[in-house]
Amino acid sequence: MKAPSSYVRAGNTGNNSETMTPMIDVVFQLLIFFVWTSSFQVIEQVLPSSLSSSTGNQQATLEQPPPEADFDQVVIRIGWDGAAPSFRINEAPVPSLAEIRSSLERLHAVKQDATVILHPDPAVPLEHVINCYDQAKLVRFEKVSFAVNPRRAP
Amino acid sequence: MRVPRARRQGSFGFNMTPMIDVVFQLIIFFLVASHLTRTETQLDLRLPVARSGAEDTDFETPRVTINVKDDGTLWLSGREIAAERLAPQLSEVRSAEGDNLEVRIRGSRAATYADVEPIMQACTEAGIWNVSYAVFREEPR
Repeated sequence: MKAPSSYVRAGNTGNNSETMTPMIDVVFQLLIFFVWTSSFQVIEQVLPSSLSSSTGNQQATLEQPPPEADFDQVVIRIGWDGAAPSFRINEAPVPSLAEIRSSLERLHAVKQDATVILHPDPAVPLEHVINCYDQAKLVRFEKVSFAVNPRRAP
Repeated sequence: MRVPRARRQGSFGFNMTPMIDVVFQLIIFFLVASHLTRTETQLDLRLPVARSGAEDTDFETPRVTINVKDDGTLWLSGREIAAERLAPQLSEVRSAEGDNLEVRIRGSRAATYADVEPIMQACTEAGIWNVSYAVFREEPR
């Protein structure tokens, strides 16, 4: 024989609220499940950028580091030797990402409104490109953009 | 035989069970549908990490999201797209959505700049200058 539930034994018979209990249980389980799983989602952020279409002439004229306050653009070239990136700021070699940061801070102190143009080699992984971009933004350069070579005619 | 209690007591109260069934079906449907929509537009990619990233609070600007996988393939609206077909596609969207169209690049950190550059070339050809990159604020656990 099936024993009556504790709710019935307590004298609560014929009440519609008794049928609500399992539903509330299930709803709470679902709620907990979705709240819990949503906490595993990594929140994405955005790096706004603008494009800068470069031409061969522009690249060729920047061979020497420009004198103080006599430049409008800071061109960061990023190379890739198959294992690690290499950096050049206005054609001057820079050994590491940390040095990039300090060089950019010096340049920012001289000219705050200069435009930083990133010019990565095609083989550079996006991770290193974004790292450089991040450093320029952390130094608070307002205008940081990517040089885009015009598409070659097929 | 066990007799249902409600009938035994002769209650004519409103029967909630079918309504609860339908509501649950709807909840499950919308949860599954939203999950499918999310996976279509947001592939599971290892995005680059950047500390200068900003919260995405602009929900009004029309946006096109282009995913770049590890192998360099480009994905637009859940479908793989060839780089040379991007420019006409983006031009079409721009003419429909307006000049302030934003292109969001969700590129895997392992993809190369050669994989991403065609997107920016296509943007310049389509007259779109508002380009942003999706990044993680910190390394995902």
